Amino acid sequence: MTATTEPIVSVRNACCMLGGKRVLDEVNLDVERGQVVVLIGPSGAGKTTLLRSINHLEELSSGEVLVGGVSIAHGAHGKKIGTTELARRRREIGFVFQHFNLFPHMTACENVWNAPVRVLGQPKAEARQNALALLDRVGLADKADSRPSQLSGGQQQRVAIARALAMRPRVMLFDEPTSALDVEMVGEVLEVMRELAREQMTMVVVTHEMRFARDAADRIIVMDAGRIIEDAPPDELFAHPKNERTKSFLSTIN
Amino acid sequence: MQFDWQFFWKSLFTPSDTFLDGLALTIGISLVAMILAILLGLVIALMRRSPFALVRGFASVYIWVIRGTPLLVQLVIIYTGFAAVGIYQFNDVSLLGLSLKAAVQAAVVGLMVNESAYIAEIIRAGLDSVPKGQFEAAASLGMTPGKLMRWIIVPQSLRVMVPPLGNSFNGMMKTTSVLSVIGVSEMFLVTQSISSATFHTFEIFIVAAIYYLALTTIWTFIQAWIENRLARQLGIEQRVSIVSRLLGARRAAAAATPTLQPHG
Repeated sequence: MTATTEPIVSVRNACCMLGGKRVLDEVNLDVERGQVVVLIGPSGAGKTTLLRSINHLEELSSGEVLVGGVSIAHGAHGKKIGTTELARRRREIGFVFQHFNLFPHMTACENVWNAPVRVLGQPKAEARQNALALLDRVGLADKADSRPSQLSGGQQQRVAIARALAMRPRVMLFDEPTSALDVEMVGEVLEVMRELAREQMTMVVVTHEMRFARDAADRIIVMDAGRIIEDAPPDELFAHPKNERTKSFLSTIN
Repeated sequence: MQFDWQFFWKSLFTPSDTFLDGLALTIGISLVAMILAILLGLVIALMRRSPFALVRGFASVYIWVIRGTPLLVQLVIIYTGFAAVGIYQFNDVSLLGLSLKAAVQAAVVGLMVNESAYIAEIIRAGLDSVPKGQFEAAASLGMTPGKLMRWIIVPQSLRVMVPPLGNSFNGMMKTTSVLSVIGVSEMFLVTQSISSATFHTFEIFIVAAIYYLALTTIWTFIQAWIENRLARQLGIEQRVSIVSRLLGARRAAAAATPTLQPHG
């Protein structure tokens, strides 16, 4: 299932200092095309920072992130790239936030077609058509004209996923996409994510949903204190965790 | 008490051309100075967000100095002071068939500079009112800082910025009366000269007061229209009645405004 070509996301020797604390400590991670990678670990382990560094929402103190073989932060001569170039490189990376961050002054449909029109210059009619199709895919065709404030949390998160997909990203990053949701809405969001995984979307997901990790992930990566302590397919990881801290983490959540 | 009703009604309903010119100048200067002040204020507000400490520092000092000194002093410095030491001398010019007196130019510059410092703070508060997640969401979709501001941040911050900006304009129309000091023949100076020519001081200044009140009242309606339109565009159902606007009972209404934050 995983191709042996160049990884689509490659994190190399990533270190990140936040507020004098070392949040990422020499992290290395390769994600192959079509892979679903789930990051788990205790809070404060650096999962979210690692995820955010992939599209440069968090800046690394040292190390490098390559997406499709191209650095997210640096140009050919190792110099930092400007804001315009950074924006261009971010187009290929979809990001789904814990708190959805939908644009409240736009309808669900506008939320989805806005970036394709403003950033990619797609004709509005075409982008709208795509947006409606994407909303249909996440089961919200009837909510196209609703404002975010009129939608439930689960619906908002599904619109946010559609919004990210509208840019046709090569990889989708999910930062605890169900943590802010009421229990009864978690399922509908995970279902959309499972569907994406089945369609071979490359995904990196930070989550505490172990059921999702078990069924949807190709690899599970366990982080602790800014380091990757274990990296294994789900069956293996849940059946025979190697690291002591992985064992104790898994015992706290099961 | 002797109140010359005939003079009063005549001045109120058939004002002299001089008075009307003064009224027109008051409106014109207010409008032009406000538009320029918003542009300059925007620049100052963006400078305060600059990654360069020197630029941020300059903007902060600008706001500190301008807000900390009286408009009257600023006007005299710009118009008379600059000319006296040879920095800049305003001259009468003709622009698009309109002759612009030196004092009028100085007045527009003075009001613009003075108001821009306050407007920069209004704009800053407006931009700060937009949650960080909105910037991140827009950036993650590949928006450049310009597009992010234009399509995502500014439309949301307008809701916070428009009411105080409207109040600024309201204040500015009344503040133009200060311009009489540097000899701008706006409504106040014209009224004063009518007063000294006719000795009907009380009557003519009541007339002037009524005209100022009419200006600010009309603006209150326009502002209400703008705010309601904006609220509709942002999907907020919130209407403030004109009566409560005029009588200043707006705080309670504003506090009841639903938040723009998504719930979750």
